[in-house]
Amino acid sequence: MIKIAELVLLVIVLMALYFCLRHAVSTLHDTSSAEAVSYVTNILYSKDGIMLYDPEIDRVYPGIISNFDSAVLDSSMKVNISGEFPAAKLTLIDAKSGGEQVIYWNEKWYNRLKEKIGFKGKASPHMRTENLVVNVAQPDGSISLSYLTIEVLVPRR
Amino acid sequence: MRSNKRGIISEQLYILFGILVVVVFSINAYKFVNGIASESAMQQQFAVRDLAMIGTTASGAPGTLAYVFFMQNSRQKVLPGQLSLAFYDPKTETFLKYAEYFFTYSKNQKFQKSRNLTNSMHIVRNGDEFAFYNAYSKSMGSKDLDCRNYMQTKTIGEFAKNKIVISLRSKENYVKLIAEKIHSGLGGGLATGQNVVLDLDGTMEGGDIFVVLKDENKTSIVLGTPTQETKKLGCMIKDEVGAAEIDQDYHLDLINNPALIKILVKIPQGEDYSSEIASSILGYYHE
Repeated sequence: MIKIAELVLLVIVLMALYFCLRHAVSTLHDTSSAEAVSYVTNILYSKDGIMLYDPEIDRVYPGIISNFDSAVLDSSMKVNISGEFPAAKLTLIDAKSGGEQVIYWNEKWYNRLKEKIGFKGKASPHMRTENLVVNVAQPDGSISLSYLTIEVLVPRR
Repeated sequence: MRSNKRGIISEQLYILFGILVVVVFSINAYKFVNGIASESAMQQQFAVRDLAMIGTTASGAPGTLAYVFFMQNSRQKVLPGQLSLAFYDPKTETFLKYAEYFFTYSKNQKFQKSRNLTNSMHIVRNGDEFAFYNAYSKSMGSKDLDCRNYMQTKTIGEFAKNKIVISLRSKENYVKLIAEKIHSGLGGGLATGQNVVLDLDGTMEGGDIFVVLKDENKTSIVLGTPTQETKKLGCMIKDEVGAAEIDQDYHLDLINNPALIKILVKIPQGEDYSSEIASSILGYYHE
């Protein structure tokens, strides 16, 4: 009787090992880091986004910000998914005055996802932070130096 | 004595059975891990995510961009912001269930839905147009090619700083003569035209502008990449030579050529478009 119980236990242990293996495989299948990079690229280089665009020559100036606005950012970054959305927070600090401006891409989802940062497992979103030195085009045509921080949150799927 | 012996045999049988279970499990686990590497479903998941990330990057690209994504034996459906991809499974000889993923796109872009694409994909960001096309399709926007629009776009670059290759892909003497006339018309061989190269062997590739000349029964133009710059020069040549057809397609003489602008001009016997093509290229840099 004891021997049968030992064999059943052995089978249970092996089954558990099998499910651990499967779980490890599905956890390794995580592209959130690469996704975050593609979102940052989209934010920085998008023609309809926050960067300066010259319609005369149809070119974007990736280092110069001219439309630092959540509505503009949302308009240039549409997604069509069910479930958790990726989101981002952009902080612009003026180098001279220290004044701070904050805009969001999917603000509602940024606030929801940020609470889950730092936990282990698939439920915790991936966070990528980029710090950049940028110029800001002022309404009078002058350019001022600023620091831009982009925090992108990507849900793991 | 006899019962002790029976107990030892029974003990050994249990141990042997246990070892057998562990061996069977190990073999199956090994097969499972090996199977993951070649699993079509897993590859499909990776492919759809990979494609979605390229789509996101392409969507935000400034200016013009044309990117080919090679995937043999697959089907794709593209909706605004959503990609679906199915691989052909040779084991079952059927297509797998579609895997879905998403990409970001701009609200201000003219996005074209693409259903039932097969094999390779062509992602194009061309001004406000952003679309996924079948790479080998003849319908890469050629029907709605609005030359009036492309003729108005501004050219980036200078004639003297760009390499222009005139490539001959015909054995007909009249085409060779046209190639030589275009070369000299652009100042080739002179100090001012050192950037103009004549490729009579048809072996060269690359350059900023790559013009291939071929003999054909009727005049037509093929654009190698559907970018704004290529469309503009194609429209200018079309306007000059009066070509009836202008198509955007993958042509054997243009595919895999790294040139920025690649155009094929098909010329029938008895026609000489040398001055028209040369003036189009010169005009392209002056408008």
